[in-house]
Amino acid sequence: MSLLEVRNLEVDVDGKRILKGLNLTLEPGSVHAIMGPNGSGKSTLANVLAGKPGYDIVSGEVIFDGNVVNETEPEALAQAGLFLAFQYPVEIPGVSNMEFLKASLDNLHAARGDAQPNAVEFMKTVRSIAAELDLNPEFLKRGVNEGFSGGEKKRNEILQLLLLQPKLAVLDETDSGLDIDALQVVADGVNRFRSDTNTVLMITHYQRLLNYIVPDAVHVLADGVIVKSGGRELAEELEARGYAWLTN
Amino acid sequence: MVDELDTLLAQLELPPLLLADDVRARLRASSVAQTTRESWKYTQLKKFVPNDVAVSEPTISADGPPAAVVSRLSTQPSDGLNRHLGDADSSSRFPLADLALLIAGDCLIVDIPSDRETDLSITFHPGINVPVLIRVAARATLRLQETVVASEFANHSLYLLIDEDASVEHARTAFTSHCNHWSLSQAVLGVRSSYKLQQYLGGGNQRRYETQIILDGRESNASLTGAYRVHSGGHLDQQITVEHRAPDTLSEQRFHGIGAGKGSAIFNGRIHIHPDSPRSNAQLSNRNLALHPDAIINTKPELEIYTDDVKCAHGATVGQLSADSLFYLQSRGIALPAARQMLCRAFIRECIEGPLADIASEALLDEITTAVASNESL
Repeated sequence: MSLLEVRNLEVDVDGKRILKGLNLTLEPGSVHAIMGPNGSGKSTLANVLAGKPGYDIVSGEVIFDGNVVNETEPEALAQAGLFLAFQYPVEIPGVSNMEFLKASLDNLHAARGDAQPNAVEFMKTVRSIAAELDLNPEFLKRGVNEGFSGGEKKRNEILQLLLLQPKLAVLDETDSGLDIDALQVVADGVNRFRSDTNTVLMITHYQRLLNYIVPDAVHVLADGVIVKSGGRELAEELEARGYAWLTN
Repeated sequence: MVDELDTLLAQLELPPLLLADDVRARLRASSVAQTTRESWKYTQLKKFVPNDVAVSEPTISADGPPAAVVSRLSTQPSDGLNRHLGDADSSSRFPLADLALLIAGDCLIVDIPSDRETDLSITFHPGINVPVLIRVAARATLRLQETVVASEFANHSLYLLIDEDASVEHARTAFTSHCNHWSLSQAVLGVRSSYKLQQYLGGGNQRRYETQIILDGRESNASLTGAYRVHSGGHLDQQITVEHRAPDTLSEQRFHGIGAGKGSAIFNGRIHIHPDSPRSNAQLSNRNLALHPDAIINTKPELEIYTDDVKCAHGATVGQLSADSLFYLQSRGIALPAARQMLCRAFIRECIEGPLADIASEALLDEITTAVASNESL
């Protein structure tokens, strides 16, 4: 069974049609990349998959793990195993990272009917992941993303990914704003997350990220629909030729 | 108001008052002046005129004499109340404080000795509280904790005279209650002295907190930080005035408030830079969250400047919880009510500091949890 199936998805944002009949199927354990020019609908796809309010599905279906989730609340999607790594993670002063991560993990465990994680084990796990991502453990005491650099925010997203272990990770331009070293750290994190059962959907402008996280499939999104799919070589061709040959 | 006061005074069997005529005269002058002022636009003064004259004695505990000496105005030779309680003109006086003086017929005086640190706690009780005057001697350090047990009605006044090079840290709470509750805190600062207020306030049936800071001495400074939440149907009116009366004085104010369903929050922050107070520096920030379409928030920062060469900034906002922040929390599996709780708590905690932080934060969380459980809009 596919983990994610998107069928003829049409989505409006502020009354304007952004996705215009998008189809996409992700199998468990696969890594897919979606590339496309500005304004093609890449971030809209990420947000609608995560259930963001304001994204109106006017037709089509999103089927996640066997269930139609068109009207599902964001927290229920997360509890079902969907994770969005944000392009622009928000800063939330006053909510400490530790409080936030614990609340998140507790909620996911509760939804699955699992026992609440032991506080000591939780701390050890979080500190260990932070170290792997070269994040100073002091950040756990600070407000969520508060005062973080762009690179730190993206690494914090990957920390959450590794802690929460979703079934599907949607990475929305996780490479934007990262220098080469930070990109390597983030990519290493995503590669650690990869498994035979975990699935990754990367949304990116550039082929660069795909040098670090090698995809099984690449899709080109243009004007709200997938116009071409292929293997990793498609990304290299896009790098060489741009998008115009596909969109004109 | 004046008629109501006259009626009330006629009914009272007044205790033998020290300087009663003095107080009466001030009361009449100040009540006439106050009732015509815009500061009473959103709150009715008469709500704070008591039906009876039950007088309460505030509970004061210090870390033992000679750390602090408690005495009574009525036992002290005096040449007038103004000598003890400042000499502000009648237009900036507080009639309800004068009323309390008149009814109580006395004032508790706490003397904080110089050159040492003192911890003091005050608990005010229901009814008219005997006013409290704290005189902080030069170079003293005072840590003051103030709480109030407000049921149906409460009136309490606190006066602080802070001598040169002394410092006061004042933390206070007044949790949500269905009371008619009026409070005054007035601090007069001497040369190079400092005053730091941290407070958390909930709403009442009618609750009004008057805070007046008078920077009388050169290089004195005041820092006021506070958070508040007004429950559905509640009312909280805060009137804060900072008087810069000397050169090189500094004041900072930062207040965050939440208005829930059909609650009414009033915040008036006035900064007054007097003549001959150059290099005054005054900052005021008031941010509010309106969590319900029926929540009422009236906020007004005011600046009056009569000196050149000063630095002043003020700002006030009313907004809603950030949709992006809510979505971020939800996308990590946190349900919407819990996400709203987290953001409200965070917003308030930004302005709860020091010894209040944990207790006020927990109280707030309890209130929000109760509101969610009863389907009250936050």
